[in-house]
Amino acid sequence: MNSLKDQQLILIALFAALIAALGLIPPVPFAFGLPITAQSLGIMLCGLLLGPWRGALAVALFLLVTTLGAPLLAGGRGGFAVWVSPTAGFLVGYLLAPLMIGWLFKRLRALPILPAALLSSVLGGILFLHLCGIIGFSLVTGRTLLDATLVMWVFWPGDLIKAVLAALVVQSVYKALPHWRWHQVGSA
Amino acid sequence: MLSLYQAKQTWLHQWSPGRKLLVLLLATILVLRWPLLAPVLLLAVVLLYAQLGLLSQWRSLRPLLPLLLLMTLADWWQQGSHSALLLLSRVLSLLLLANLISLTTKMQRMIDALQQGLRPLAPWLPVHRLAFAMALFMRMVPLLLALLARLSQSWQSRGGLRLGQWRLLMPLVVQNLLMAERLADALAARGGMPQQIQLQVPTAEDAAANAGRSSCSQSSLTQHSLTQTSGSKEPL
Repeated sequence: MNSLKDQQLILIALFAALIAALGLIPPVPFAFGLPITAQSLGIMLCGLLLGPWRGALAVALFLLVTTLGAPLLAGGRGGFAVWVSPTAGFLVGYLLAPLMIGWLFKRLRALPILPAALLSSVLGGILFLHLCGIIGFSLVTGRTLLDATLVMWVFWPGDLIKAVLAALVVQSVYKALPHWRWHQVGSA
Repeated sequence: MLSLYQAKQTWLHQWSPGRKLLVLLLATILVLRWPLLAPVLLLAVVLLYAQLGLLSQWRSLRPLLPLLLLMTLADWWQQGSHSALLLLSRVLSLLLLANLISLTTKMQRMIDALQQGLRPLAPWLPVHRLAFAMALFMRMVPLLLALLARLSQSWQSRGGLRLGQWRLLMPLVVQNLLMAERLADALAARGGMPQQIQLQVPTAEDAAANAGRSSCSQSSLTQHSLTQTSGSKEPL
């Protein structure tokens, strides 16, 4: 039993590392110089592959180390500054999104993996994440929700690409590792 | 691992992390309560940066610049220049102040403070498991990046196009899952989680050595987790 718990902890640490590594890949420059990074792809994969709770714990570990001063957030940001930035709402969203994604993915088991993963990523990893981001933006800047929504649209196209990628990755991982102990990690 | 820390000897470096956090908290409350104070605070923070000789560190804000610009312009357009400038100075001053904590506090010191702070929670929160997860996490980030670089090389050497690099995500995630399995087996074979872990933030030299080796083989992995765990294992 204890080694099972250890295994979960290792899985959590490794997926936290995956989020960080994806954020450190040189970003693709996009409209207005706003970079698309793969970081939120890591968030989606956490929810899809680890299930809601372990996925959220992986993100929590990542955010904890980032807050303590490791510049692992996309664009090389880190430290306490990330929590007073206008994008702080997205970090809260990062923390909650795997709960949503993992829960949805479990609910959608009747569907084939690809559409189920895509739908959960879009609903939890984009819609819900952006909702958190917009609320956070309006809290930090004191603007109305509508204004905040107008500013955030620039992130949409990149996020859609990432949701598709996340779904493709999950599908091929299920194919590549049919013997992986999915039942133990609480997903599928 | 990279860190925002600037090795210097200033009076702010001597402060405890808790004290710095408290000042940040107070400043945040002040500025939210009395928005007109924001430009004053911004001026004070900039002067503080200048006094500490850290002015060049403004560049840690660079990734946020497009968003800040967009935010200010939108506000200017809707509420006028007065409101836009107040907003900008509030966001900038808090960002810079919070960033100052990371610039002047070693990550090791931050982690020590965290572990100290969590000690009273030990009966409910398994602090040693958290420390193990943090150590493993920090160790795995450079290894995953090296793995990605290797995957990219083998992709390109087989004529793969740069645009097709997104395909490397699949082997990356599969390898990550397999590594978790191997690490779990290795840990179980060594008698499970150590009770105490001395959390060490890898220094720049360590990172350079890793980059040179650029190896993700299982041996280097388990070897490292061994050095990280066995030395600190409590005798029963």
